[in-house]
Amino acid sequence: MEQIRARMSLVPGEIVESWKDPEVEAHFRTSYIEGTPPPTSLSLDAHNRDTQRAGRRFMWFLFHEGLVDHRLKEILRVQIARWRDCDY
Amino acid sequence: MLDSKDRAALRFAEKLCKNWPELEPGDYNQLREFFTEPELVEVVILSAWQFGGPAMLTSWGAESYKRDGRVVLEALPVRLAYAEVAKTGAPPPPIPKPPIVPIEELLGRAERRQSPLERWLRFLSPHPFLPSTWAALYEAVVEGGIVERRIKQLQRVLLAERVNCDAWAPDGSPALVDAGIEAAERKALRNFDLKSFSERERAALKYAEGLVGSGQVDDAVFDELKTQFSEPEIVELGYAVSVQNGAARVFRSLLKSAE
Repeated sequence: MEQIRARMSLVPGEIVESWKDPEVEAHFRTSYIEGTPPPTSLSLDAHNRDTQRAGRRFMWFLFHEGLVDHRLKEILRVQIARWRDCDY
Repeated sequence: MLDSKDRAALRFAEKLCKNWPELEPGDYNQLREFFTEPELVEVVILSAWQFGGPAMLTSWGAESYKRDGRVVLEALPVRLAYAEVAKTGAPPPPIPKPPIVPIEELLGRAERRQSPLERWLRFLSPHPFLPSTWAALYEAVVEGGIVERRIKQLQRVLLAERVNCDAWAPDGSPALVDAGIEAAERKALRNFDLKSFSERERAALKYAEGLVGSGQVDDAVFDELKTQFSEPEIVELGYAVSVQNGAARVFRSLLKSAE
């Protein structure tokens, strides 16, 4: 299998932890348990803290809170990735 | 096992992915048979985000950090944040609730700038938090942020042209006028004729074209992007396109309801 090229670096843990931001910590620690999003995705968008904060708030509450059954959201997430030919 | 409600949501999402130009009022009416209006907004916004968001992560090479589809911490080039404490099995702290901005405040800002569009926020408005969280993301990366606003507005116009929805980035709107984007720029973007733009603008526009078109960004396009933008800036540019990529297609179909 061809190895995909890394295009962006991961922000190292010591930098992220130095922020001492409880919201960032909650997202990271939850990601190790839930698996979605993976902690590597959080470590990529951590390059831009303001963007990460707004993006992760939008995505987390869209997928994990709200009015629609989480099971259906997972079905949609996986199926749309297939239709869009996106492994992510 | 899928029920009728699941199948209705999947029918909508499939059409958005495979045949979005044909989305029409009937597609929303079939959702209304199973979902309340706030639930419908949630299904539509989730589908719209999932249409474009993952392509952004793929464009950054996020998959390169996985082995056989999963993250192996020991194989990564750096130690990730909070990896050690996660191994202890201690429960994570709760993710705090996001601040909710009143819809009237969001609509007021949208009316002044037409970026995002007031009409789009009105579509989101039945939902208890999505107008606020979607608009907060849009405002952080398109209206605010560290990259020049003109570049993000150029991306927005390109996206509007590519999804054949001028109304997503209306001519003469304050946001475009402030960014110095006029008819000549719009015509150039419609034809993807980038010679009149700066090197930095061209790199951002080629990146947006990849995300909006095929959803794939070639190595050459990404390499050019990296010569012009830092990694924090690339994160912002990726989100700026992704928050609009599916949304503009949905918006186009909503306008048919008004015709």
